[in-house]
Amino acid sequence: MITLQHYLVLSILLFMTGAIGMVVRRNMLIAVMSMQIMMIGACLSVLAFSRWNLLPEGKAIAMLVVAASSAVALVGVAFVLSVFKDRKSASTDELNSLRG
Amino acid sequence: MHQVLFYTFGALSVICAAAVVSRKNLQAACLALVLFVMSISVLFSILSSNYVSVAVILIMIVSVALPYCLAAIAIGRRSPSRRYAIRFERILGASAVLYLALVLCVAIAKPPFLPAPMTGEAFSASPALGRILFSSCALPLEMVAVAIFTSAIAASIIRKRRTHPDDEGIIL
Repeated sequence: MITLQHYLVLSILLFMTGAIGMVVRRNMLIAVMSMQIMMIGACLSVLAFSRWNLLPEGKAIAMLVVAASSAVALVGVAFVLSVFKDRKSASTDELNSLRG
Repeated sequence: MHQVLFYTFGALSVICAAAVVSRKNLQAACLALVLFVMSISVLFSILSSNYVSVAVILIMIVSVALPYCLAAIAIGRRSPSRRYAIRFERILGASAVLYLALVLCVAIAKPPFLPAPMTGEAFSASPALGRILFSSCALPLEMVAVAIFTSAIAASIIRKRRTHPDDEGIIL
C-alpha cells in the first residue's frame, strides 16, 4: 500500500538530489536544472498532501509553481548564455566579479 | 498496480535526477531532464492530477528542456564523451517509446489499476481546478502570468546585451 510517506520520501530524495547538484556542480546550466528538480520535488509533496488531505487547491498551487519555474528557467538559460558569451565559460568559478 | 507504477517511475525519476546532476555531458544531462519530467508526470497522474501532469509535460518540455538543449549544444560543443551521449540518447529514446506505449495502454484500456480518486470525481475533474484557479487563486495566477511575461522580456534583453562591440556572440 502506497501512503503519503512514500511520496514524501520520494520528494525529499528529489529535493536533496537537486540541492546536491546546486552545491557540488560548477556548471551554471546544471545548477539551473538542479533548481528545476528541486521545484518539481516540492510540487510532488504539495500534490501528495493535497491528495491525502482532500484539498484540490494543491493542484492549482502545483501548476502555478511549475509555470513560475519555467519563468526562472528562461531567465537562467539566458543568463548562462550571456555569461558564456562574455567569458567563454559556464563555470561558477569564473563569476568572481560583478563587473559587466 | 499502483505500487508497481509508483516504484517504477519513482526509481526512474530519482535515477534521472541523479543523471542530471552527475553527468559531465551537458546534452546527456538535458535529455535526462526530459526523461525525469516524463516520469514525474506519470507520478502526478497517479496522484489524480491529470491536468497538472499534462501541464508539466507541456510547460517543462516545450519551454524549459528545449532552451536547455539549445544552451547545452552551444556550451558543450567540444564534449569528449560523445559516444556515451549517443548511447544515453538511445536509452532515452527507448524509454520515451515505452512511456508513450504505457500512456496509450492507459488511455485505451480505461484502467482499473489506477487508484480511484479519494474524493470522487470532484477531486480529479479539471473544471474544479479551473474554478479554483480563477477564484481563490486568481491573484497568484495573475502574478505568475506577469512573472512569465517579465521573464520573457528579461531573457531577450539579457541575450541582446553586448559588452564587447566586436563580440560575434553564439549562434543558436
